[in-house]
Amino acid sequence: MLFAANEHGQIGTPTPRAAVDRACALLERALTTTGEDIRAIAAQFESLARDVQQVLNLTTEIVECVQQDWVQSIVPVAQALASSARRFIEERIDSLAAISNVFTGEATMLENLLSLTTEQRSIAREGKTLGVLASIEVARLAEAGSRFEYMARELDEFSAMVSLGAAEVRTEAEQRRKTLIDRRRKLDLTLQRRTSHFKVIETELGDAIDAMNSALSNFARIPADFQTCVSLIAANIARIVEAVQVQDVTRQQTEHVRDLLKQVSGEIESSSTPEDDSAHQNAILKVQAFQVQSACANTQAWVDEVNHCLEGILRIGSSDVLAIGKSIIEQELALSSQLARIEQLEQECAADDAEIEASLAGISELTRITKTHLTRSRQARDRMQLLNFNSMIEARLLGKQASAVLEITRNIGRISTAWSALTDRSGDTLEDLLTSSSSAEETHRLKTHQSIQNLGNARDESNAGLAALSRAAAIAHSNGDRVHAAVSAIHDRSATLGRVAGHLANSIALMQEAQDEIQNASRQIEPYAVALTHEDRQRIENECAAIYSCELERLILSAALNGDEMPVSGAALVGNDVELF
Amino acid sequence: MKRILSVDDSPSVRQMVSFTLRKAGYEVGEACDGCDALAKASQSKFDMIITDLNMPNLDGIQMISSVRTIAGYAFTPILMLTTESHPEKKDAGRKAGATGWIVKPFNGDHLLAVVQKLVR
Repeated sequence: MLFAANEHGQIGTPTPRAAVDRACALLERALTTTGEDIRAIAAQFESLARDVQQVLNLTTEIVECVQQDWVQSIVPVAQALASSARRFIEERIDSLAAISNVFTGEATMLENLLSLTTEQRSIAREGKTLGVLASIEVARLAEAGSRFEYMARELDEFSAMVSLGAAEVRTEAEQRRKTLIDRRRKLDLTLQRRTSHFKVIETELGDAIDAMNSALSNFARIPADFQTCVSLIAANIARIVEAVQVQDVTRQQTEHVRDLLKQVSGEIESSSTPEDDSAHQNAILKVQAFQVQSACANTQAWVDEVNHCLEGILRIGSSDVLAIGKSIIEQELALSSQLARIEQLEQECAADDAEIEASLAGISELTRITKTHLTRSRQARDRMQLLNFNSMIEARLLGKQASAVLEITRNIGRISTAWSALTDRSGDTLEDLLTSSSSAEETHRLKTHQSIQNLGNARDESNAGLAALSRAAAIAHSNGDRVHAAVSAIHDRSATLGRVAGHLANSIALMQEAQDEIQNASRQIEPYAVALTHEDRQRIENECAAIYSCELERLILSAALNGDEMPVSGAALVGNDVELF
Repeated sequence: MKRILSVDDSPSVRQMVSFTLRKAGYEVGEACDGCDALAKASQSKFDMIITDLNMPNLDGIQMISSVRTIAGYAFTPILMLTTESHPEKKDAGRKAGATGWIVKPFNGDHLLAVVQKLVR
């Protein structure tokens, strides 16, 4: 009989046996669906664990790249480059300004030289006039004048030498002045251009370094943070290994309940009266109700474990990791571009140097001619002084006849003095020219050579660092793409797992319904059940313990029979007892 | 590469054991009960066997007693991996020839530590 009539004669309440049979059927369905769901979870889980491991491996590669010394050192190297570039720029501008001052000084000296040559030409003319006068006087003095023929000759020669020398120096100085004006104009333009060009390079290089620094900070932080996050997920997935095993415990627990319910159903069927063995049956039903309650709680616990893990997985975001490689590559290209500009700048400065050296070589040519002229001037000065001295002696010997000659002699003395002063001034001008050009040449050579070398070295180091960084960025970019794809796959798989885990709520509902049916049957039997004796309890304990296979089931059995404290839910999650024999 | 045989009537438990051991570099074979395990152990040599206790056809303890009689398996480490923790059962396992006993659910790292200790 499946349904009994109540005291009012109404048919509807299932009989105890029907309730027990229904409970068995519900548990059977729960076992079937749970088994299917667990197999689906286990299959997805293994692929999920593999995907997570792949992500970890890829991220570890990125982190290892970041930890390489040459990645860590790129910013200091780039900053050293910026310092070298700044020093190069400053010394370059100083040097160009100094060269410009040399050209200005040279222009002043050229004016002095031109002025000197004008005076020299004037002296040459005076000398020539004196030569003519001397010739006239020699003729007038006839025999007595023969002692002064050499004077006229000397004066002629002096005049010719001075004119020629002055013309040479003048021509060279004029030529030099024209060249100098042109070179000064070009140098001033170059200086202007370089100054503004340098400012732009300095600013852009500084910006590129700042951007690189920021990108590298992210390069260091993001993959490491991501790795930590994924490691936590990997650890959570490891807990799923335990959670899936707990299902095995609850499966066995549920199977044992089902088997004992079948036994009780058989006993109820074979009982001739409701009182017959009802205490025994009721006690077993109560125990099974607790077992089912425990199985529900444990199932819920490991479903919660799976869902917790899945929530963590779905929170993983790889967009930062995806972007990092590209960001580094962009910054590396920006910095490379600045290095290329610096290299171009060095080449332009080398071209400037070639022009400056050509200009300085021009000064050398001018000083060479001026030195030659100075030597001749000194020789002429000495000859004039000697002529003056000899003339005076001869004139005094002649007495009153030589008054004109004496006058010429005095003029020779005056010219000689003037020439001597001019010669000294020429010497001073030459000295100044030599000092300023050699000083500028030396300064320019020293400063530019050292700073070009430093800049070249810094640029080479930066290029090497950037090449290494480029390789790291390429790895990060490639791995970032793969990480992003793997994380997408992980999210998809997690979503599937989540849906399957959701099915398990149906299994739990079935088990709870089975528990209700067991309790329903127990309530119907209880009024007929007498109190259990010690022997009854012992018999029940032996019957159940014979098929139980875990400590949890025995604890629940003991608590239900003896009124002890029920084990808390989740107790089945504790295992790992290891004993080596 | 060391070879380990995983014996359990639950496919999901076998999968978890295999996953844990393969990640550590072991080659893993699977058997669904004691009879299947004996057949596979006879066909090829395993360096270790990890078995459940309660299985249909042939349970874990009977399987251990039988496998010890197969040539080459007298000293092979055999671990019982089971929900059972009763001292009487453990004693029966030890007498049958089990090397060790782990109660489910197992933590992957703990299982690996025991396996690495027993498989040289």
